[in-house]
Amino acid sequence: MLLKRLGINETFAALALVFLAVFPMFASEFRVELMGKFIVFILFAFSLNLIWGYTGLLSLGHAVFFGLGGYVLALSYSLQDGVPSFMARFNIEEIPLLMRPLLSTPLALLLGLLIPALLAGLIGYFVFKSRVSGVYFSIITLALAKLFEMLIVNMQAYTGGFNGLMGLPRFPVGGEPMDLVPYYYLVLAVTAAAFLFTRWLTHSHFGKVIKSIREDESRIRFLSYNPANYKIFVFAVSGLLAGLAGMLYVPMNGFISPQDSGIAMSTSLVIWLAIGGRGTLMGPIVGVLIVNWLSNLLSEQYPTLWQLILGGVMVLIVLYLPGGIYGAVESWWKDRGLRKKYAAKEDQEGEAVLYKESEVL
Amino acid sequence: MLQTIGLTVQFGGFKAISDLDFSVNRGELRVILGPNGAGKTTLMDLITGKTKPTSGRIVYNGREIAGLEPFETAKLGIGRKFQNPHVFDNMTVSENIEVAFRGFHRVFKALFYKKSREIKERINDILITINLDHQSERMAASLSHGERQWLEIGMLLAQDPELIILDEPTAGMTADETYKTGELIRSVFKDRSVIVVEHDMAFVRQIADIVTVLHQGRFLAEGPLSEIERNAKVQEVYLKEDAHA
Repeated sequence: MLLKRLGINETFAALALVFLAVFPMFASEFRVELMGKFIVFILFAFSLNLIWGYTGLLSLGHAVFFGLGGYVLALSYSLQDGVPSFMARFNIEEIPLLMRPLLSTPLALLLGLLIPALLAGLIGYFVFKSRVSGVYFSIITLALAKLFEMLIVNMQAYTGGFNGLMGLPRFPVGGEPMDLVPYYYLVLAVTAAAFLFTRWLTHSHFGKVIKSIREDESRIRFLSYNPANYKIFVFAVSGLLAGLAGMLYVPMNGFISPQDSGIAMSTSLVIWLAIGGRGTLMGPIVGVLIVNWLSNLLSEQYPTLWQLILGGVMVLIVLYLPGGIYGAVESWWKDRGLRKKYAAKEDQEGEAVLYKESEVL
Repeated sequence: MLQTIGLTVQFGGFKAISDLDFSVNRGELRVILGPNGAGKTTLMDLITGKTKPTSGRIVYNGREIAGLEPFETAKLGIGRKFQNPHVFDNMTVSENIEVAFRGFHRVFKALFYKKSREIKERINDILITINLDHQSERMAASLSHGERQWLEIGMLLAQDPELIILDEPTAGMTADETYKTGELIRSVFKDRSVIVVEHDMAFVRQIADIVTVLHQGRFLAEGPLSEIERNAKVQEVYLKEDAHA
C-alpha cells in the first residue's frame, strides 16, 4: 500500500531513514560509529552516482575530492593549538601562510566544499572542453588519484605524510567535541538533505539532459545542448558533495590518511555503487550498506577468507544483475506497473466495445 | 534559406564533396538522391556542423554557418533525424520528447525549469501525432524500429526547427509504415524547409517536389522527379551501379 502511494524510491528511502534513525537506540557505540561511517559513504556514493550513474562518466579518482574536503578540515583542527607536531618535526616554526585561512573553522568548512568543487570544475573544463570522454576520462581521474595520494605522502611536512592526521576531535562546537550520537544524527540529516538534492536534480529538466548525455552524447548536441557545460557543472557538483562527505568523515573516523583519498578508496566507491545500482536514487544506499555490513560480518567470521567470498559475490552480481541490486528491483517494479496499466487499458477498451455492441443489439 | 557555395570536403586524399553549389528555398521539400558514396550523408553532416568543410561556404538565413558546432546550428533552427534512429534508450518516450524542446538548453535554465501545463499539453499533442500516446511511460529501448523512427520525428517536432534534415527516415519500415511516415512528413512539416535523403523510390514519389541528384560528391541533376527519371546522365549512373551490383 505504502509502496503504491509513495512510489518505490520514496518508500525505500523512508524505510532506510527510519532504520538509520532508530539504529543508535539499539546498537553499541562501536556499531554506531561504524554505521555513522557508512552513512558518510552513502553521501560519498551519491556524489559518484551523479557523474557516473546519471551522466555516464566513470570517475576512478573520486576519493581525491573526498580527501581534499577531509584534509582541509583535518588540517584546520590540527592547527588550532599552534604549530602541530608533524610540522614542528620539520623545523617549521610558524603556520605557513597558505594554511592561515584554515585557522578559522567556519572558513575551513567553506573551503572544504569549494576547493573540491573548483578542482573538479577546473579538471572538467579542460577535459570536457577538449571532448575527452569515455575511458580516457576514467584514466585521467585514475592518474589524478595516484598523483594526489603521492602528493600527500611526499609533502609530509604539511600533510602528516603516510601516517595521516590523527587525534582529530569530533566536530567541536564552542570548544567541546560533540558526542557520538548527536554527531551521528547530524551526519544522517546532511545525508538525507543530499538525497533530496539528488532527487530534485535528477528529476529536473537538467537531470533529463544529463541522462540523455549518458545515453547518446552526440545526439543531444543536435538538440541545441552543449554537453560540455553540463558535464563540467555535474562534475563540480559531484566534487562538492564528495568534499562534504570527506569533511563529515574526518570527525567520525578521528583520523584521515592518504589511503582515504587515493585509488583504494576510489575503487571501493565504484564497487559500492555498481553493486547497489548506479543511476538509481536508492542504489548508493543499498550498495554501501550491503557491501560494508557484509565485509564487516565476513571479516569477523572468516578472517582469512572473507575477501574471497566478497569478491565472488561481486562477480555474481555484476554478471547477473548488471543494473545492480536496486536497479534490478526498480526495473522489475516499473515493468510490473506498466504491465498492469496496459492490461487495465485493454480491459477498458474491451468493455467499451462490448458496451457498443450491446447498444446495437 | 540555405545555400552552399563551392563546398568541398576532403578526407585524407578523398574528396567526399567537391565544389558543390546547392540551395533550398523556404517551405520547400527537397529530396536528395544518389548512389552509395555520392556524398549525401556527408552533405547533411556539413550542414549540421558534424563535419567541417575543407573549403567553400554554407549560408543559412544570410549567415555563414560553416564550421559551427552542431549545438550552434541547432540553436539557429536546423534539426536533424539520423539514418538509424538515435533516441535515448533508457529514458521514457515522453522524456525523449521533453529534452528535445527548444529554449531550455542552458545549464541554469535547465536547472530551474518548471514543466508548465502548456509544455505538458504540447508533449501530449506530439505523442498523439506520432501515435505513441499510449506508450509515453515506456522506455525507448523497448519500442519497435518503426516506433523509434517516429519517436525521433516527434523529437524534431518538439525541437521546432525551421530547416529539417531527414536522413533515410523510412529505413527499416514496412511499406505501410513508410506510407504513413510520408503522410506525416507532408502534414506536420509543411510550412518548413525539409531536406530528405532517401533510397525508397515509392516514398520519393509520394513526397518529392524537387529532387537533387548527387554523384561522387558532385552535383549531377536537379528538377521534378519525372524529369529526373528521364535524365540520361542519371540513368547512366544508376545503370552503372546496377551493373556493379
